[in-house]
Amino acid sequence: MQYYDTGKYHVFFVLVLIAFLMFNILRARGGKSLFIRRIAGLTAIDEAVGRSTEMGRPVLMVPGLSGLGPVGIQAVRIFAYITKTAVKFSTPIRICLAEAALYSVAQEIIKDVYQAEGVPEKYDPTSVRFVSDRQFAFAAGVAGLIYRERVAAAFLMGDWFAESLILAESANAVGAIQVAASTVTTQTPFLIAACDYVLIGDEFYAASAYLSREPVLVGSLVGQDWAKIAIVALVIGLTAVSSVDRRVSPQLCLVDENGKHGQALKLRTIDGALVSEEKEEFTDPRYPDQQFVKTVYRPVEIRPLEDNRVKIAFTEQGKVVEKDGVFRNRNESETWSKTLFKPRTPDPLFPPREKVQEDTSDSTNGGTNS
Amino acid sequence: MNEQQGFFHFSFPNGSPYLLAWIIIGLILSCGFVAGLFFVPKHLRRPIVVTGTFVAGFYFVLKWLWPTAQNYSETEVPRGFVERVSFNIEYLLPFVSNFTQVLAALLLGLGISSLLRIHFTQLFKKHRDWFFSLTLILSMIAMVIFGIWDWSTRMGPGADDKIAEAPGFVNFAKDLLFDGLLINLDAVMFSIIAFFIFSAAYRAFRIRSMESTILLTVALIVMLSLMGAIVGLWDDQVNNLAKSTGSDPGGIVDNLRLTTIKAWIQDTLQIPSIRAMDLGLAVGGLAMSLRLWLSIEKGVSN
Repeated sequence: MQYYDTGKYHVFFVLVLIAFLMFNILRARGGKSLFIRRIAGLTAIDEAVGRSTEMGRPVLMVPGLSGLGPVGIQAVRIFAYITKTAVKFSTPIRICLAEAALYSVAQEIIKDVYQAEGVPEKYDPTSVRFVSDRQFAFAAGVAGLIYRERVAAAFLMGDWFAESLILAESANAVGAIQVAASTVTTQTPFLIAACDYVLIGDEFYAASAYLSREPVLVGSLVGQDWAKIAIVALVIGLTAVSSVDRRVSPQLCLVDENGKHGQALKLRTIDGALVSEEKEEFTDPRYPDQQFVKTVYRPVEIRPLEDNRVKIAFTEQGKVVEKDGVFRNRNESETWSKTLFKPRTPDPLFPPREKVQEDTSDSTNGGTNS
Repeated sequence: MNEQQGFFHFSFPNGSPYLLAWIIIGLILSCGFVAGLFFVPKHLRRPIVVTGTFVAGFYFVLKWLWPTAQNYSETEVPRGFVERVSFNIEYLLPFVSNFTQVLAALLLGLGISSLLRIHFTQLFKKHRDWFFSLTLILSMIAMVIFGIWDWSTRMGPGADDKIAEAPGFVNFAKDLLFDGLLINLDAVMFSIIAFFIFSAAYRAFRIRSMESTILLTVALIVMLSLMGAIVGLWDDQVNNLAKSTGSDPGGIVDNLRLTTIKAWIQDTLQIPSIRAMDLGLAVGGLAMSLRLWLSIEKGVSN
């Protein structure tokens, strides 16, 4: 049973989540001390960079196939913090990218890091590289770099697809310590199998807050936690409501054309046209005396009446019930789907649009460019 | 331009002097805008970037929040203010998309220049493995030449059919480079993943800790449930057990079937875990996008 029009609920819910985020950002900016738990993969950054320094080999950072979006920017931000650590020990870095737009941004950010650390002359423009925007050409290029330069640490963070394992295993083959994070959940198991440390799920987004302790980021992270708690509470609450609803609400089920339970079930539109004929038997084992439909909002018999009114037939607690009403939209349709039929007369709220007047004053042959 | 349609309708016939004039004006304005950015005082640069980011993001926020006109058509007049705004949002969509494509194309040039700089340096200074760089540069040049040449021969009506009947040297060369070489090299890279999966699985499934033992057990069940012969033999044993214990068909013993255990693992453990991760990632993405859109995140070097 649908009690509310849920059409715009998701907008409201997202706005609530945004309010959580903004509130916590303001709270953190106001000086409130907020706690972040330890994340093993991020505490390993110093260890990995230190190892590279000792071995005199480069640190490799790859954001996968991420483009210039939230994932790519977040990955580059994490790489900037790693670079900061590497710059302190003059450890060489390599950042390989598969997207030209992100390459340009990464180059500027990494250059800024060197400048901020007071060693702009140590910045090597070839340390940030665009390899290829073709997936396996990119994988081949980066794998080649891993083998040739024998990197000592590899940070694989971003959008990963089939190339994830090629790079993770190549880095493992040269003995590199690996820290990985994937926003593509299907690749997370591969990275867990192949890498030393993996940031799972939204730990990837927590990384910059964890590393920088910047109030805006920390506040945002706490806001994210609030949002997740709200979502989990909603899931639990709605599961409970749905379970109760299934027990107490009148159940709709299909009836055949004679109003009896049967196997030949026909769906008709308001105009009487046959939509489908279903010959399956829909039985719910919990209610062996009743037959149920795949969707409870689809009564079989729909008869058109005067003034857009329709009559539908369904069964309620085992009895055949007929109801009639005016169909306008989902708000007002009590139990039946709007997708089955349309009003026969134009809706007064939405009359047909007028056509645009053709401007013939400068008409010429050929098409138009807009 | 029709006043009734919206604020951003620039539609002119091909070859029209108005179209040419608008193209020239657009070019001058955009060049002037880019040149002007170089002379902007430093303290004004951030507000300009912040405003640009906000306006660009606001379009998509508006597109998501504003009621969408049903059956949008450029040939119809919007009914009222809400629909007028909605029409303009729809009309602007290709313009905004093209804008991002133009930017991406410009930035691709930067990416290629980086690639060439690295490999030309490698080549001219005869660094180790310089011949790989030479191969890359030659491949790139060959692909560009034959790609554009092939494309130019395919212009005009019926050109594709003629080439299919009697391909010329350039068509043959492009097919050889693209379908014969590049696609197959892609396939090679993809296929070696099978071996990498094997080696990664070997390391991950070694019994070193409680976690790896659980991983091994679960993986073993799922793998075995996909092997028909094993499933058949296992099911026979389950049937025998059901008979010997007098269990009803579909009773508790049925839960011991490999396919049932696998389904339980996937439906009860795997899917909820993936959804939980996706949920966290979605919220994290929302927070990150919000910070970028409102420019409330400080630079890394600050």
